[in-house]
Amino acid sequence: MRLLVSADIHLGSPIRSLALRNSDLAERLGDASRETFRGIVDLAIDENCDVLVLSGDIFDSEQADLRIRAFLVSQLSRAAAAGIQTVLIRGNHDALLDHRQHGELGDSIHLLRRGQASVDIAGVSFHGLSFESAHEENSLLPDYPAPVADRLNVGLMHTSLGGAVGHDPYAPCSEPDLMAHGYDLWCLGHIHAPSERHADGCLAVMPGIPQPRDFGERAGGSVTLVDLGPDGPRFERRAVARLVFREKHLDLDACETQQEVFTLMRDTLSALGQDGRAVAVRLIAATERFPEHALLDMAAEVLEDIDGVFIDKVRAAPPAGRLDPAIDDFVRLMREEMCRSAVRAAAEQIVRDIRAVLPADLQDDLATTDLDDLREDALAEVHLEIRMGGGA
Amino acid sequence: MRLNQLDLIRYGRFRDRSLVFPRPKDGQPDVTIVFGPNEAGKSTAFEGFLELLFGLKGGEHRYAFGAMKRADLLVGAELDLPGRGPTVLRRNGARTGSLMDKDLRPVDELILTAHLHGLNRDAYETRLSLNDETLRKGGAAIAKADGDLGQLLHAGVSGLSGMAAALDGIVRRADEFYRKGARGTALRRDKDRLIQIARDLRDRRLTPEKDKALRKARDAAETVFREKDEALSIARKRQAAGTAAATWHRISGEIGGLEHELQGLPEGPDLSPGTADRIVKLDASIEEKAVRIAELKQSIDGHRKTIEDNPPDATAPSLAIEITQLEDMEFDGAKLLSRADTAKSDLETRIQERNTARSALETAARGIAAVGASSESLVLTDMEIDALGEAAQGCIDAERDLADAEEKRDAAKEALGEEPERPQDLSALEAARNAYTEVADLSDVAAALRLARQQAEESAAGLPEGWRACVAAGLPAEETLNACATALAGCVSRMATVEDVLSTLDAAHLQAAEDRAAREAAPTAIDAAETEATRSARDASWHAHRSALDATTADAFEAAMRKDDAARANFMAGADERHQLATARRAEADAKAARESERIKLEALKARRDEALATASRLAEALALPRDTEPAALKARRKDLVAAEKHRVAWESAARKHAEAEERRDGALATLRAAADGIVSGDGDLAALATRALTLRDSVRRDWTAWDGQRTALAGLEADAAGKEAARRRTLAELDRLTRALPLADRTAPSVKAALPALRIVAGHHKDFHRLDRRVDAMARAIETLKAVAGRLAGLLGTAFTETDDPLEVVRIARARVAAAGEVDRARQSAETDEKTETGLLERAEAAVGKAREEIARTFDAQGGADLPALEGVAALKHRDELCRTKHDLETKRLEARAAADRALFEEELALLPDDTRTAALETLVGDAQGERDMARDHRQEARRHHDEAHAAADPSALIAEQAILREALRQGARQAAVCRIGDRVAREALRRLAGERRSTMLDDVRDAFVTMTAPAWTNVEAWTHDQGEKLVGTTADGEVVHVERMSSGTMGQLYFALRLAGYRSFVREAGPLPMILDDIMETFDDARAREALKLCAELGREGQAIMFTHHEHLVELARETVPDAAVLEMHR
Repeated sequence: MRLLVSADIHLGSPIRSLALRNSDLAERLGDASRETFRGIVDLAIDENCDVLVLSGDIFDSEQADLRIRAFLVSQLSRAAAAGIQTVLIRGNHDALLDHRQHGELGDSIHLLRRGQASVDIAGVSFHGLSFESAHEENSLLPDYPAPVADRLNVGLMHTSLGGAVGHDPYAPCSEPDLMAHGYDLWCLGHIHAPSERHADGCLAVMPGIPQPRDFGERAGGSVTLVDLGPDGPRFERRAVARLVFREKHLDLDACETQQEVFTLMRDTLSALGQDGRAVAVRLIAATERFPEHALLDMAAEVLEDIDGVFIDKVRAAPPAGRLDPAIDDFVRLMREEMCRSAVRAAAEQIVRDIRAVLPADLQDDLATTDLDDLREDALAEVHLEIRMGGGA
Repeated sequence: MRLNQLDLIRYGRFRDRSLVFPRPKDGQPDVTIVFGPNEAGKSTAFEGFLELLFGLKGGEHRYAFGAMKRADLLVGAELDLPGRGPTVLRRNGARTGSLMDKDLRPVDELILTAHLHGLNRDAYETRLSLNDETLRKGGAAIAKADGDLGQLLHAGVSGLSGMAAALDGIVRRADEFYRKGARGTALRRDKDRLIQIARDLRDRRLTPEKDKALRKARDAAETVFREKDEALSIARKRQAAGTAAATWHRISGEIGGLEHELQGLPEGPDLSPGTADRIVKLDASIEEKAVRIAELKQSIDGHRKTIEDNPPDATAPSLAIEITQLEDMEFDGAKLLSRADTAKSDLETRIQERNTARSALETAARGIAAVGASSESLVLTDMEIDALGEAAQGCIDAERDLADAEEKRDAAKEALGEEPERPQDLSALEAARNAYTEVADLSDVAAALRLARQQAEESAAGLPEGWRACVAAGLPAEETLNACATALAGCVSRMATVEDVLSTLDAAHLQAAEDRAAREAAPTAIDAAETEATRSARDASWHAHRSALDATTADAFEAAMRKDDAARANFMAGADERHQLATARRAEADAKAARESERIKLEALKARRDEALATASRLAEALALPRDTEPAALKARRKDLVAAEKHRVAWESAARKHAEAEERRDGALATLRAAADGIVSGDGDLAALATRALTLRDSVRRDWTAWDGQRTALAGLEADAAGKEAARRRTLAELDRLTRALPLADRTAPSVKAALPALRIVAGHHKDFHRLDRRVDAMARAIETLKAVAGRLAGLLGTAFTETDDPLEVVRIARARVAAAGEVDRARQSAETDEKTETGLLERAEAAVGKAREEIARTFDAQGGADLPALEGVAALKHRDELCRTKHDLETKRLEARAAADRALFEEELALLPDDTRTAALETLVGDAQGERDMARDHRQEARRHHDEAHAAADPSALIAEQAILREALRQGARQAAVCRIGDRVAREALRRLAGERRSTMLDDVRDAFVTMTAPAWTNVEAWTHDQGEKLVGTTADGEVVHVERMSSGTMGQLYFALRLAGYRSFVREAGPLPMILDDIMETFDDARAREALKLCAELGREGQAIMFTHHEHLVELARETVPDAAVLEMHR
């Protein structure tokens, strides 16, 4: 049996990158999550898959729109018409999958939940539990059905496992317990970076988010094909994202002129975007001459001649060691000032002032707890700006 | 560091050019003027100096072009380095290891970097060089700095004068994002747009709640519509019932009138459909058929008379048969009858032609036949004659080929001599000889082995016994050694500086402590707490005295009272002292804190030094050196160990290769010996003997190969001759077979070939004779057949026929008789056919008349009015039937109208009739219901539209995407604004600190330099305290205080120069001297100021090294006057 495993699709959730300030890219990717899901169904059909497995967070709680649900149903119906059955569970974002409020999804689409936790497809038993609330503090593993004897058993679970950076703890579950439950395959969701685990003949697949929405999710961008054969499950990742995020480091220390910077940027950026997918790139430049706003202008000019590559963000910082207080007296003084309580209080006040005028839902993104990072960036900013404008 | 000599060995357009910077005499300033016109290479020299210090720039080097490659570039210098003394260094364009000693051996970069105090090339250029452009920009930047003391001193120290512009730029970027009270900021713009988007999304997003409300509204509208639609339906039914009742009422009246009219017509059942028309048609048909019957009877009588007048001819059929057979007969491809006239004359002509052909045949045969042979025996077909010709020609050709082949064979046999010596197979010997030759020479590998051994022994000569164990255990990486040496040198250098500072701070702290102790010792320094203590003591003494009331307690109380009074008096008088004491204590605490900070710094440096030393010891041990070995020596040892190990491995490899070569050579010799066995004999070099045998083999093989070729060719010729003989025999046999039955006079091949034309003529005449003979015979038989037929025809006609009668005339008479009999038969047969047909028609007409009369009679059975004529009776019955049908139709309509309506409503409405207003009342009722139903329908459609539109509304993904972008922009913008604001704040605070730290050491230098250069116009420069910090102001000779930003641009340039000189002095004081490069900085100075500036350079040269480039000769002269001991170097184009 051949399965296509995906999760954390977050239909309707937008790309969060300034790369989309490019109008062409914005037009292409304004609906990226849905286009990607359409591609996932195409892939399942092309690969002659028997079952499409969706392990939660198909929707995004911030984008509760019934038209997105209609889109999901239309795509899964398309898969059903091609002979592909769908097995899915609700994740913490999936209020739109509430069958009591919105009804069943259709024939050949199996929403597993309490009271209907298992379904048998072509001799393979699929087990799963859907979540009833947006926060689940306890492991759901004890509630999962025991494996059916003399059959292949596949489990679907939305879980943060033992915990992951950037993800809320959600239905935490010990990985050894999971692998020892007796199933042959676990199809997991919730963590957006893809991963696979093997133990005692059991395979656990965390397929990750198929369309990364921001730089932090750049590890995602794929789904996982699983073959359930006599030799145990085998997997293969397939890229499906319309847009990928990349990070590139530029050492501009040796560049004395803007022309040299242009050349290095062009060489670096033109090497990206070779596989036809759009690339949002974060440039990390080591330089003592060019602050971020100047590099951003130069990168924009370079990218006019390069298709498919867009700037997500530019960060500039002096090369390692250049902000050494032992070398630069002014750097020393700035560092000492930063440690003074009065200056520290002033910096906190600056952050509070700006936080206060931000929209309420963005205020948490600028925290006084980030003050050390802000001050380091401030030091680099001042240093670069003086070097840029003060080479007299 | 001092630059003693700069060597431009291969650099730019210079080759082996040196610039020597002489040491000054004791007590004199270290100033060198480098004078040269434009394009003399002053800038190249400066760049060469920088590249010596920091390495050649990456990428394509400006001086690496044409034949001069980057790796060929070479600069050098003699530098006076602290702790090392004069050191000669070289630098080439290599990517690594480019710094070398005077013998071009790579040396550690640490030699230089330890004395550059962390400066990179950029920092050196900005801090330790000055040219006209930087002076101008520096002056302009001073204006922008608005006199800020921190910024100006920073510019002096760092050489970076864009501080004001940098901070303005940072603040501007923060303001562009957000500024309190400002409109048009990015934050305001994006927030407004986000609000708009949120509003639009609320309208366009189809949430479950919104969908629920829309469905509820739609379902309610649907319910109302159904109710109104039902009411309309009922109203319409009532209206239909009213209409049906009116119809019933009207038709009932019409039916009453019809029943009255039917009472006057005959009774009886309805006529079947079409009965009336049928009666009329039958009546007309009876009359028509009576006329026809009379006509048929007359025609039948005429036909019977014609039959009697034309009886049949009995002889005609036999005649017709004979004539038909005769007409079918053919002769010479045509009908016999048509050729009968010409047959007799043709017969004679053909007999004559046949006889002529026979004579020619006999004549032709006589020329070639044997005696007594018949001409018929020489007749052959064309194919037989062709075969005979080919056989004769084959015999002739085979005879000729045989003669040629025998002639060649005999010639070859004569040319073949005796068989020479046969050659032997020496290929194995040749292969063995070649293989041996390839591996026989071992001189190269032996030489390589000797060289490798020598190198290995030489490279290991200076190493200790256990060096290989060190290598086997793993050598530390070169980067590790560098890092260790760098760390140690940095620590030592920094420690010296910190120790100097610490001693100064110790002294300052001691001074502060003494000052504080002195102030504390003064009685008036008493503080409030001490007065409280004396008061408490006094009160306690009083209480004790009050209890005891003795002398002792009285004395004690007096003493306590006096002490308290004195303390209070001192406290009252010591306000200033207390303030000074507090200040002294703060000063002591500050000094202590500064000293403590520096001490901690020193301890940390010592710890880092000790750590570096420990690391160096471990590394030394790993390199088989004593643990106390200088770190600088580790790298060389590592290099020696690496080289020794490399050469040892190479030696082993060379020895292995040599042994393998010997083994290969011995094996090849054994193979050669085996191959030569039995072929080569004699003593000496086996390979040479084998080569000789192989050389002789070639000539023997050539001779034998040539003889063998001739022998093979002779065998081929003999085989060819035998083949030709066999062919000749075969052709003769074939000719004999073909001519054996032919009675020819001579059957040899040439004779047969000559007889071929005559044989062809005989065959042609024989063919003509037989064709003519067959034609004559056929013509005679045809004439006889015609006569026999004519005789039979005459017999049937009853006439006589003789041999002389014309048979064709008999045939013509018989044909006429047959034609006449045919005409009579046709007339009779036509009359018989017509008579039979018309008799049948007559019978059918009479039967039809009878049948019509019976049908008319049947129509009037069971009907009234039978006494009327047929046509009138039928008309009455037809009218009666029409009235009945009309009545039935009306009854049907009436029932249909009632059936279409609701029965109960119909009865209600019928009961109301007749009523002329009822129809209008019902129309009003329906109209009202219709209006209400239509309104409900519109409401339902509107609710459906709202629901459907919400589901089909344009997808809001573009808005969501824009929202995400704006939120990300705000997120990043807010962070960047915070970074900018914090940066600005911290930078300004640091500048204040800088002003505080440097003002004491630099401000005096700045003032001295500036006043020296600008006197007598300016008399002072000092720092004034303002709200936002300290600002620099100048004082003119008139006593006027001028803010920096109001000075002239020239004065600002000089102020900037003064700041840079002060910065250099500060740097030299902290880090030690480095050469300061001044590149034509006095172009815009007048002579007086240039002279003063040169004096300042001399001052600068007292603390470090000043090198001044210029292309102005008068500046050189000024320098000679102003700084007599300055060295002057001249450069030429």
